[in-house]
Amino acid sequence: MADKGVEAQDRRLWQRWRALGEKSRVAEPDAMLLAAYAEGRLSEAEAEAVEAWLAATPEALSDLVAARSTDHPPIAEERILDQASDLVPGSTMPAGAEILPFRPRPPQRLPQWRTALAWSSIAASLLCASLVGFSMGSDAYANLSGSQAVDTAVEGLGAPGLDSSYFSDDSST
Amino acid sequence: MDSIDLQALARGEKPAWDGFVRRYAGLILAAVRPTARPGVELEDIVQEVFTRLCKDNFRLLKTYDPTRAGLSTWLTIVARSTARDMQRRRQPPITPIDSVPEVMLSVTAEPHEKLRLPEGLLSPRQKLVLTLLYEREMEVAEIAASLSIDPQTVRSTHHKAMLKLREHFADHDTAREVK
Repeated sequence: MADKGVEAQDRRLWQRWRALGEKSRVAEPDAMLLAAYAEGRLSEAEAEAVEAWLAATPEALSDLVAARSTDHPPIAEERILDQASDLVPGSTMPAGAEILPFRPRPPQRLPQWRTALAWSSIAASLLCASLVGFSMGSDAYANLSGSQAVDTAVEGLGAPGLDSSYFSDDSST
Repeated sequence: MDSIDLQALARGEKPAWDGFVRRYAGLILAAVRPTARPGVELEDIVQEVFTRLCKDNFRLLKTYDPTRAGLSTWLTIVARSTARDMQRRRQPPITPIDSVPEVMLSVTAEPHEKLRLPEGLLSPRQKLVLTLLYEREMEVAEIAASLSIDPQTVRSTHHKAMLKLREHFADHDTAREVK
């Protein structure tokens, strides 16, 4: 700024003035005024009031600097958000929102012809299954009863040297 | 600002408050972080800021005027001021010896000057610039950036202030010599 000698002189002069003057008690401007000052939106007279306070409280100058650089703030933790949120009681639902009672959805009705077709298909399937089962059961019964009748007949003949292997399908015999 | 309904907020509507908290908690956190000690205290300060905002039926929040400054700017000021108040409450008032002007500490036998400082000798801006230069040991460029003014304005403010002081003390010293 100036040479060292002049600067030292100026500094001493300021210190002398400071020592004589009482530290003026200036009331802290409200946050709105300070914010407007930080954004350079105050008239000269309004700005003077803020600067008078800043001269007495120079450490607050960093607040103004911080207020001007609010880009990209960090993301707060959920715990902090929850605690802050709890400060205001009430429902989180927007005003005017309506609560709808839960109603079970009515069953979808199929057209009558489709219902009839479905039942018919089931009935037909059951009938087919019954018929197949019955015929299989009949065949098995017939086979079993047929072989039993032959055995009885063979036993009735009482022919020696004839055993059951005689009736087998063994092609070697 | 965009999606924050300030009127709903001032009415104390919970969804508006929750939206506000979610949106600005990070900003408040960033604002108070430099002032806080590590650990739990940071969260305490953030909670104190939110408490102040909603206290007494949102009295502080209702003072916010969107036509005068941005909400982020205002919130940062509120947050920093709250943090400073909390620090002040916790710490006993101590003035570091370095911040006391040498003249105040001197023990010379010189009689105390009976000089009344004329009211308004220096303008608030002149006082501020001299305070920042000689007490906070800030550079001209730093002061200019902090006050959003041109460095040349800082220099001229300093120059005019020193002229006034020199003139004032010269008159006073001459008067003392005459006596």
